[in-house]
Amino acid sequence: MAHRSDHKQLARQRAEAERAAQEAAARRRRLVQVIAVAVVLLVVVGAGIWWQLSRSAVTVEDAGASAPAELLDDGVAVGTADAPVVEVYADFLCPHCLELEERLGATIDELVTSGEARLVLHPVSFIDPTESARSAAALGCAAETTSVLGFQRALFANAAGGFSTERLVEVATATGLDDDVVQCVRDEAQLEWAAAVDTAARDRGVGGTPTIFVDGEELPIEQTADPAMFLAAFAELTATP
Amino acid sequence: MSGATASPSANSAHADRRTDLGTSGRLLTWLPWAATAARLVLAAVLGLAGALKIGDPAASVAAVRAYQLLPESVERLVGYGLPFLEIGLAVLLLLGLATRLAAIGAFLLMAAFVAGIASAWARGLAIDCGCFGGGGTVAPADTDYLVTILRDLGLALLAAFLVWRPASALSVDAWSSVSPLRAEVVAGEPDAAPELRR
Repeated sequence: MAHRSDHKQLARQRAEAERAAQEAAARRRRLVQVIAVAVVLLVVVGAGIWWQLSRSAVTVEDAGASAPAELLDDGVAVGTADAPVVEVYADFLCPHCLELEERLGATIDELVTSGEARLVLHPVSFIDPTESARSAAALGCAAETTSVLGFQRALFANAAGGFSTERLVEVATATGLDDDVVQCVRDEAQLEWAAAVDTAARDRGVGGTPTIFVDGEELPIEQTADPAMFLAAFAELTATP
Repeated sequence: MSGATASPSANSAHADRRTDLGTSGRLLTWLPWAATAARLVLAAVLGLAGALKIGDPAASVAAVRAYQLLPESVERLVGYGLPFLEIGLAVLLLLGLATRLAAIGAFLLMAAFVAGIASAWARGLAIDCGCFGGGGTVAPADTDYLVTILRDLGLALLAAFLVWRPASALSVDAWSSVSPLRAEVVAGEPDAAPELRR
């Protein structure tokens, strides 16, 4: 009887030791698995951050048309003073404004350089009170140059990387703006002006971006769908009776 | 079978064990499915939140900035990295891979969101939470802090449940290792096999 229970005890101990070893191995395996997953997750997040940062490297491909500009209280005017006015309310961080710029930018540039239209840009700060305002202020810095059209296009093109002051300085430099303009961007010297532009837009009842006015009339966004529609609407609104 | 050949006391002990196994067995049949449901709900919400933010990094950074809690360089990292973290956790939860780790991550995220929103509310900011894209300042009448906090608390609760009971049905975890159910059954009859062998 005692002999049998010894046997039984030995067998049980052996089984328990085996089970403990198996459990320890399983725990180790699980731990390694979890650590591996955690590392992959961290790498993915890190790579994501790096990707968002790197695709935001400043590039300026198209210098844009050159046209004389002037600083207004509520925006920047480009082109002949007596032509019909096309007004664009845009935030450089707003994706739909970028799309509008890609759809109609070249068409509007042509109207401006040929003297058929005067463009007034109202760079508002609807998306981000800090970065939008900074980019608007940068445009204000360039308002007395002939590179406003190119600079605003460069701002849109580089919006994905956000607008830290250093990035705005890079965009301004890459656009080929003069040193004093770049210095103005660096100093954020036109921030107060940018705030005034924003206030004026809200006072006028502009609630979203982009908003376009032709000769003082708000253009339904459908009419900005492509250059042909826009040109037709422009012709209709500016036709002299 | 083996119990019948042993003493009466051993027999009754064995019967008790069967009863225990029955109770935990019943628990174990619905718990893994509840965990699966929790996993899928969290995965759907996190995945949606990440997907809606990932295409517009500038807006994501702006949404973080609207909370006015972090220094500018950190705001950018959070704005850029958060959508990837959300999608990463969503994928883990969807697969049921490293469920407890993912649940801890989801719980900490929700806790951080609740804290951020509560602090914005307490400071009288009027912002959109930016949870599913968007974000930034809104009209004071358009804030919905309470609903957002309750939703995130509910999600945190689901995550906490998963931290407590990460074993779930239809998961890579269950498929790739000894499932807790099987482990329980094996642990329940440790001396059955030696007895039979003898």
